[in-house]
Amino acid sequence: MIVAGVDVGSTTTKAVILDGDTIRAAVIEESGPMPGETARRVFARALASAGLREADVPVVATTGYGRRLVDMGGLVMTEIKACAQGVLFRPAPDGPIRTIIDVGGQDTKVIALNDSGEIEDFSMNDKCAAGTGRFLEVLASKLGLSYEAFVEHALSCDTTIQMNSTCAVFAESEVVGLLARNVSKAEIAAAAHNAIAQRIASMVRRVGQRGGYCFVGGGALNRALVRSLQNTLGDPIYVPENAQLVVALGAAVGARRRLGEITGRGRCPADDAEIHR
Amino acid sequence: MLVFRIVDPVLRFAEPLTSPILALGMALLVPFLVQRRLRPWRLAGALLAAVACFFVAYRLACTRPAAARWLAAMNTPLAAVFVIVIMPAIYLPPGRVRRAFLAVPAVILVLAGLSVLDAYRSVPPTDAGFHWFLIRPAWLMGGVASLLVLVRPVLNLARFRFAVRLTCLLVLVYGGFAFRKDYDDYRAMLARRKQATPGIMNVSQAVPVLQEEWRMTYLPSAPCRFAADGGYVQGCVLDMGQRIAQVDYAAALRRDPAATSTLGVLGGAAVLFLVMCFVGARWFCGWVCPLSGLGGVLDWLRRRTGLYHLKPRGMLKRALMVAGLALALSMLVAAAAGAPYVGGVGRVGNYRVPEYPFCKICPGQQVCPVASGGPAAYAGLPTRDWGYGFYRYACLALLVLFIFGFLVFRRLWCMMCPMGMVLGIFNRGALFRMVKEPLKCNRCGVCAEVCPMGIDTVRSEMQSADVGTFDCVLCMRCVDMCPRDGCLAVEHGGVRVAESRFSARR
Amino acid sequence: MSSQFDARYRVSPTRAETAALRRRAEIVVASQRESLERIPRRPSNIAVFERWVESPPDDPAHPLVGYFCNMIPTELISAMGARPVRLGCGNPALVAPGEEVLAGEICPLAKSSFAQFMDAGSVASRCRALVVAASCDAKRKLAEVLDDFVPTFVLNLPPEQDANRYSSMVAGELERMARFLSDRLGTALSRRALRRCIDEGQRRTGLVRELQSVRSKRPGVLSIRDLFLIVQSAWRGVDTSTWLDETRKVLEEVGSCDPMDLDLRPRLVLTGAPMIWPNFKVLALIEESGADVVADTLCSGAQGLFDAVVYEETSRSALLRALAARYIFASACPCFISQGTRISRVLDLVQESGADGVVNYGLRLCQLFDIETYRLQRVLRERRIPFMNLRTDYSLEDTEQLRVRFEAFLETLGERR
Repeated sequence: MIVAGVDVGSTTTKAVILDGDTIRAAVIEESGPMPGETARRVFARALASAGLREADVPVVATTGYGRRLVDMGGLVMTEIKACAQGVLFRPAPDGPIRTIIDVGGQDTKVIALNDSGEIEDFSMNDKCAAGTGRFLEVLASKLGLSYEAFVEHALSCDTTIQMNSTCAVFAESEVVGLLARNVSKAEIAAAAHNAIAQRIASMVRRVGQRGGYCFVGGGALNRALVRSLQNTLGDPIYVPENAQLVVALGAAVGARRRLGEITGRGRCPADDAEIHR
Repeated sequence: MLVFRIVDPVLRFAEPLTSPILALGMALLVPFLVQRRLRPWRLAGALLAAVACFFVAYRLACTRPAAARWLAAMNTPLAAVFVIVIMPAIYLPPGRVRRAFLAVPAVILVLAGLSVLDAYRSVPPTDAGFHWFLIRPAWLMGGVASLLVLVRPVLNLARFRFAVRLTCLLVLVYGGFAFRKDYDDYRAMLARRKQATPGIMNVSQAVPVLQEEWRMTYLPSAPCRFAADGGYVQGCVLDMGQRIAQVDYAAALRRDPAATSTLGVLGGAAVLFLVMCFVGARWFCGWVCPLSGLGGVLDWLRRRTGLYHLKPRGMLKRALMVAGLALALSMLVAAAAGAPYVGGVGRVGNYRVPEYPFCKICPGQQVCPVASGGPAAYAGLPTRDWGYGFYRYACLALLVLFIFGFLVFRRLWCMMCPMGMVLGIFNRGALFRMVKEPLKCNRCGVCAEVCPMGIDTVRSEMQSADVGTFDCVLCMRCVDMCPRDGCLAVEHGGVRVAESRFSARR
Repeated sequence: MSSQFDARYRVSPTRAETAALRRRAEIVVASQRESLERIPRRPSNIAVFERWVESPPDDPAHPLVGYFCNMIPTELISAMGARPVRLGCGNPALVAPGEEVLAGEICPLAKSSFAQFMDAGSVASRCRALVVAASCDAKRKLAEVLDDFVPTFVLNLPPEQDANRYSSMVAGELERMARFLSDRLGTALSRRALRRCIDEGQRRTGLVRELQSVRSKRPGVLSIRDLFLIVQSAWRGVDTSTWLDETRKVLEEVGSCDPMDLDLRPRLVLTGAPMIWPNFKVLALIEESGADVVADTLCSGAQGLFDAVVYEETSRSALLRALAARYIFASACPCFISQGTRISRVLDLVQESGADGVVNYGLRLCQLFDIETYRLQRVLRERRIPFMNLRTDYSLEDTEQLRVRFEAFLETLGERR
């Protein structure tokens, strides 16, 4: 069964083509101002990279902020459900996953799972830049660094400086003040990561701190953020490979299940393998 | 009449049906079987089998004279009416069987009417005229119950209750002269009236309709036999209590025949009384008691004037309860201590005790004669020479409390009425249950507002479904008024007899 | 009767630029009307209700008396020959003007309701008197401010819903309210008129209960938005018998039609803060995302007319207490300190209607509903009833964000069914 999942995010658009249990293709691209066009382009690229045509893929699932902007004739699901399904695709090495943290470009989600892998509760921050990737981008540019350099600086030191985590704009002016007091850029970078980690931790507490953390999304690629989060939560955090593609993968998994229902073959054995308990 | 020549032997055969023991047995058995949801035929079969067994046991027991006397002392047509008319009306589920059953009260009602005509046939032609309703008690009770059962589907709960209260008031207050057993009984009553009216302290023997040598019928709540011409029943629980207190127990232990036979009669009356308490609990106070019926007239007067009523607080209610209990107990003690009574007067040291001390201070003996016989029948207050004026002033105080209580407080008298208190014991644990579904309650407080006894438990109880209280007179106003469907209900033996339904009232 | 407010510090009413205000408000109304037009099945006389909810009909013989809060006994106002009109505002366009004059961090209902008065020609400004229930801080202080515009009476409420303790107090407050209205309107309160209005109110409740019962079984026959329009128009100065006639027509229509989507869409119980036209954003979201609201506990929804005033005695005191019982003691508003009534109502509705979950409409900047939500959520979680809190204010900008959350909630319901 070949299916596809397309995550039309606000910053990046991702597409994943899934064949049974194998990922045949995975493509990421910047969304730009026309998310519908980008989605089609990304999907086409994924097909090309897997050597398939559109007709070979019976079900395409779309998710993300732009899920209704592009009609791919298939399933539409929220990125929350897609995220949960994507994370459970492969078993986690350190035990069952109970909490998923997804830090994206413009929003952050925390999803709590129960013992059967069902979504029990979730919390989203999509109104305010603090606590999202945007926060770090804004501060990086304020320090005159590229994003990658910013992360490297943060990794290089531990700091006790507390930064304002409530508002990205306030944090910006705070950076100016810290620079004036001759605080090093590395320390500021580290403090910024700690601030965002605290904000994420308070979202985690709101859905109930239950361990079993899994970190996905663009933010998961930021090793400094992973470290800060681990320190703040006090528990190990599992970052799966292809962390940024997890939501698109989850959409594909949803598509696979739907295909199983339609063709009457019921759930594919690989579907049952999703629930690794 | 031909029909009675067939019916009367049947009635004699069916004598065991008049035993309160059977009534109690049915009151326990029927709910038990109904809750098991048996098929109708199985249910009917089980009940018929139980009745048949009882008949056999009864006849066997009657072969022994002592047992026969005991059994006879507790029988009453009311028990038969309960089993044949009232219980099916409560416990039969709606459907074909229930509709078919309605023929039974219809037939009984017709027979009751015919019984009056039959009794008129024994009136000699010289005395042709109106002699009220000459009707045997069995047919009166059956007829009244049948009429009410037939009328129930047509009336809403509030109107039905009014009909029942009015009927009971008429029978218990005016029954002494309006519903005499037969023509001879009626003539005897007229003869008694010609005798001089004794003073209030001497009135001890009135002749209620149900008086028989070997049997006394007491009703729970306060049916006063001091209504004109003795009223219908023997009296209230305190009348029975005073008589029990006045029995010469020493003589009874010596097997004195007079004492033992009195004790036997009172014992039978007590058994019947207790069965009625168990079956009805304080419902008698809310639907039957003629004192509260008369008080209801005063309450109606207040409502017509558009005045609001006063509400007694917890302290006042408790004080009244204690006072009522204290008075009742002290009068029972006085009744026992004053024996033997000569000409209606007993002595405890220098203290003159009337034969029924509680009755002399009870407002019933003041109010019921006037209500049934007019102002001319008023026998006055006790004079100051009895008990150093205690009887006079206590009587006056209770009379004022009675009138003022019903006029201004809704049911203040009922909060101290010792007769009601005996019934209140049966409010929880007997057959009647007041139930609430707390999830549906919106705490509006209308139930507490309309409750004549000032009970707050129904409003405030939010955990348990059982909201029965000692005070509750089962007037069911709360159930009737509750605006949330299914929130409040009254159950009898597990079957719902009333439930709150907003649309039912309009 | 002396005023509750100090006459020494009266402030002249603030007025705003009416044309711009009205234009912006009309744009919002138009957009909500558009979304209403997308409802597949609507009663044929729904336009009548839409008109009523926007502006009350003209009736010079019966002056308008404005009121805030479902807890004001409208029968009392009607019995004195006036027409009660509920003035709580749901228009987001009026929030900003109100905010500019009052404070920013207060509930949007207070801000927008205040802004109505800044327009001298609005329904609010045409009222002869105002009655405000002191249910929450915002309303209490709003009343003080509004007294400068239209003579206002504050009905003080008991802190606990304990009829045993506070019934006399509330009856006393209602007497005060009657005296205030008597001074303003020049009429007196008669028992007969009050009884007549209460009986009419009972008929109204009967109709709403029937509608509720039909919708609970087959929500597809009448959209929750149309139900809200019908219910809310009853509070907009419309003669009760006219409203009864029109609503009976609706009941006949919905009673006879075949439902669509029978039992296919998720069934939800709605609870939370008032949603007053045109603040139907969340209702539209719920229905457009593919779910149905089968029952609600909103004072601005069916719950607001679900209970009836019942009385036994007809003395003045008894009638006022009957009003108190239904309006104050039976209210499910979280402004009282013990919320058993509200939570019981939610649980009872879930049980009765076989709902799949509960949606709570949390109004931002309302502390009462915020803290209330905390308890409600935990009680429902204990009983394993799916729960979603949609916390938002009047603005339409966060619709998509609410949508993704709500759709995720529906997806979790889908897994369970």
